[in-house]
Amino acid sequence: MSAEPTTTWIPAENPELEARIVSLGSYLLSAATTFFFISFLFAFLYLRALNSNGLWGGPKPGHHVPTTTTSGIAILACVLVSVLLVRLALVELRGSTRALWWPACAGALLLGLAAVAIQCWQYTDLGFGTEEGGYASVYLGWTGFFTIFTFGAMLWLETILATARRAPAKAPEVEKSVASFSVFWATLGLVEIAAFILLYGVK
Amino acid sequence: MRRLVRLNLRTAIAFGIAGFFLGAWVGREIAAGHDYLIGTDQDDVAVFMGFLFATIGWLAGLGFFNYPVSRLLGRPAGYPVEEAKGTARYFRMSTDHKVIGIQYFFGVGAFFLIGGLNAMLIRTELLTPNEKAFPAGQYLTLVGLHGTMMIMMTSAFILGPFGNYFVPLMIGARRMAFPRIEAMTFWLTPLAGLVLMSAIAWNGFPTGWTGYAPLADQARAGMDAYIFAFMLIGISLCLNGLNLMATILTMRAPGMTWTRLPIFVWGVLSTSILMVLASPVLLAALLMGMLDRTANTGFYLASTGGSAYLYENLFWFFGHPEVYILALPGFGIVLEILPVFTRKPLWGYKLAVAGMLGVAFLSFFVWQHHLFVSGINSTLRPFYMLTTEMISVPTGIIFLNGIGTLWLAKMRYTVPMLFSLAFFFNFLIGGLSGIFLSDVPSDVTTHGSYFTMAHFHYTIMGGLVFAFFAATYYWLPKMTGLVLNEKLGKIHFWTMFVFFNLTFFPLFAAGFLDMPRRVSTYAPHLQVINDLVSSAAFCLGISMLIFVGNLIYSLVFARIPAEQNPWHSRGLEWQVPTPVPLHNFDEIPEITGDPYDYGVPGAPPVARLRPASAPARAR
Amino acid sequence: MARLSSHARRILAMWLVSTAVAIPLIIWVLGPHLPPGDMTAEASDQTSANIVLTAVCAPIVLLILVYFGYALVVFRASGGQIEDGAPIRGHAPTQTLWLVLTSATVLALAVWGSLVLVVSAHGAGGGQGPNPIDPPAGAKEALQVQVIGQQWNWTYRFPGYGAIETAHLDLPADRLVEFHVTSLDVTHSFWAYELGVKADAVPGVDNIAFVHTRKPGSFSIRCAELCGLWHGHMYQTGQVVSTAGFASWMASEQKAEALNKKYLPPYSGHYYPEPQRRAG
Repeated sequence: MSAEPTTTWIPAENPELEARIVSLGSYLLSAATTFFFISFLFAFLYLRALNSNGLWGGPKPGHHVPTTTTSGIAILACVLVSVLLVRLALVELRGSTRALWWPACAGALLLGLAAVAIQCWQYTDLGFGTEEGGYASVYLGWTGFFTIFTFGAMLWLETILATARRAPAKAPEVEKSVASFSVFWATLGLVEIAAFILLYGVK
Repeated sequence: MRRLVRLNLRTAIAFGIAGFFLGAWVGREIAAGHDYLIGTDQDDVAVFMGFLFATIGWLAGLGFFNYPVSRLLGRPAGYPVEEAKGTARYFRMSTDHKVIGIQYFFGVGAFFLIGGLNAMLIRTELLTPNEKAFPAGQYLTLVGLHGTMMIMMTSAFILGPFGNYFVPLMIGARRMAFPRIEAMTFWLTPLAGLVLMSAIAWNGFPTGWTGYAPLADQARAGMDAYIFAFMLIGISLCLNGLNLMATILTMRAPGMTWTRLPIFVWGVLSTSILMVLASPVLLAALLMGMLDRTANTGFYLASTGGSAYLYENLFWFFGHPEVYILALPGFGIVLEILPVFTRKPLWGYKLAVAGMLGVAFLSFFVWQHHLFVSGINSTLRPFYMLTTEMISVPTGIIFLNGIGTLWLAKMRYTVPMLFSLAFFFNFLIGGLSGIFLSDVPSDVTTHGSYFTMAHFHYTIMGGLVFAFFAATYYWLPKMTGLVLNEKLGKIHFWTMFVFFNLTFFPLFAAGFLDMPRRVSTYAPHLQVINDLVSSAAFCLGISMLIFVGNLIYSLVFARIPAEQNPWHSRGLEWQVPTPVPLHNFDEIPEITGDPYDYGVPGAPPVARLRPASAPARAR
Repeated sequence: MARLSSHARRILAMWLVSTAVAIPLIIWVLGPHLPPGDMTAEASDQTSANIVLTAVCAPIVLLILVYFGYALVVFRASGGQIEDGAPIRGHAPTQTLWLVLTSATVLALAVWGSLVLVVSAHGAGGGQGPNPIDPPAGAKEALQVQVIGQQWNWTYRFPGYGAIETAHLDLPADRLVEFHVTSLDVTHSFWAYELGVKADAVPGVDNIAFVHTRKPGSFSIRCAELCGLWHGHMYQTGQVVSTAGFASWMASEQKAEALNKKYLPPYSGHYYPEPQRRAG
């Protein structure tokens, strides 16, 4: 039981294979994430159509629980601009200059964190309680888990930035890791668009 | 970086327990003063926060956060494998897929035995038509624990031990795509089992493995344990599928074309598709249930704008692919084993691949057959009847492969072969009884009765568990380097096969004679059937003990070293030395032949283990 | 080739003989005992579905059993020797034939099942939700029975008879009955075994099932969906009685339940339980 650990190293696979693995992993993670949020999409449409006990929109007949659209727009804008900035960084990395990828990614990171912060702030001033009907439930679930996913994505982005900062890597390697991240982040961007349309538009 | 403490199972347990109490305290602080808690003596927020912090503590105690934190600080990626020799390495986080395979084998096996013990207790209660052995609440908890534990654990029953251990060996890779994620998928499994069993401390949960809301919303804190444990398994399944799929798609050795891929790997691949896509839906369904119980939302409560059907839809959207997560690896195992012991190529290889992918695809379109009489979408019932019955076409292909492979064979009746043949018999009955359940008029009688229960025990126990034992007897010599006793293996097989059928076949009759599932009280005239079933079930339990005895005897006392390739198989996994070296292959091998070319004149060897000039792995 | 076809001929012969024996046995010996009997038109439909499915499964089971049995005896290695079998990788005509046959069987079963379900059996006694696809003729004059599941009992309300609530269920013979199944707390499933009725009782939902009763007799009522502690005790016996018997039963129930009636909530297709609290 107490034998001393001996460290051995598995011979490194080539970096190209590593990049392929991460890239494929990102696609699979995006697929899983999509199915996760499709559950909330389904819950939205299903509960809205059923309108059990007339309580989809809240307890007062004819009224819908209020949501603060301004912060919704702010969150949407932060996420979408952040997604676009990551795409921009990718274009930079594939181009010849490569100067702007770092600020673009850093900006994307800040915007993503801003989306998280705005969402948390919005919870303190919702105007309705979680128990007020189907919409309130779906709203809380969807935005809540979206925020958690966004925060996770930002940790990933931070890893890429920190790694590049500490040991300036070759551009192709950075490009591959940013590309993998971009797939996942763009998926979350699509989820946010759907969330905005349904939660703030359709209600 | 030297660590201050050696992180292993001990630290995991310590951190986990500390995390639970810390989390429970945090949860109590959060929930304090919320009026819906007033008047109840339980605080679900505290329980969930306790579980969450316990999970974080458990993973931290095993060292799972060291690497992500170092990556956040910008340290480079890499895969050092720190190896302890001896048994110690099985009690700590290891990124070696072979260690993880063995961890899975014993970890999941232990929970399988506990789940089986629950079944024995259930059958004890059912010896009499009225509650005798257990109070009704305890009985329901036993039913729930048995069902949940079996589903949770058997989801990883084949992919866990054998998928993780043999997929890299079979495709000529040195490791899995994401070794740390692989370690985490395992270590979440025992944690989930422990969390689930902690339900006993909260007086259990009444819902069975399906956890139907609103009963789940009404239930007491034991339900939280069910929800959290199943969430952990959902995450574990999703990550396991992601990892296996990434491995198979990217890390095949040169020459491992799609038509040379062993059929077991195809089974794993089609299963991983289901795991990646279906488990997130389970996770979402359980999270909604968690919000209902903690944040007072109303996803599943009709009175507050929700619907019980929402849970049923989401759960079965996961639940039906889930049953194929259980079945498909079994298909892969038996088709992998048949050619070895018939000394023939696998008959209809491409058709088998198409069959497994077809099952995986169709399984996403059948879930509402669980809801035929629930009162939703009655107009869609013919559609789901059609898709459900259609799934028997790709499943039938597996039987055709079996038929073709046995044709003009030279069969050897080894223990793995016996289990594989029994798989066909059991799955035949399990599959055909499914036709009754897919036909709506017949389902009105059989739905929710013991017929259903017998049906899925024939497919899961008769299919998956028999395939698991086939794989165990086939591959354990490679995994442990020790021979399993064949005589005990045959006794195990025959007792298991006979008593399995004696246990579950009469249950079809019980279901036809109006015995509903999950009852502790039944009509007195059914006592004869139930007593027969219970006695057979106890003998089935004894046959499991024979297997455990065989394991202990062969691995602890007899310890006869296994040959490198005792079955004379062409599989790549048998071409490496026993025990398998840490790197699997000194050089990445070059695949030169088909794994099932038995008796083919002039067939090339399956692989060159030391390619003359190791080619660059370009694809 | 000659040897090969002799195997095939033997297997085929054994299969045909065993099938020829099995199918009449299933239809005429086992069939009459298959559930749920013939107390209602829907129950008869289910019984014949069970007979047909068993009869369809029999040749498949026998094919596999005969083939595997034959193969296990004949295609074995002699004396534990390791010798190679015939290296056959497949046989396109067999594969095609198998796919065509299984697909055809499955399609036929699905079409037949749908026809029974929708056209002849009008839902086959299963719960169809609030809007049944194809209500049977005469649904307007059907006897309306609301089945209310609650932990852990069934009660019945008869909107055509002043919406009284009874603790037992009697039904007239030779009558179309329209069950409205609903629940007051968690999901139950109303299973009237001999009637061939099964419909989930879901809170907030009016789940409709039709059944044509035929002859008098008694039937057992169970709960087929786990509903908590005393799930197994949701067990009653109902009666199908003559029309006159039903009228007198209803008269006596109306008398007995008259006092209780004013405590009942107004009749509705479904009732919303109080927002749920943890069971204390």
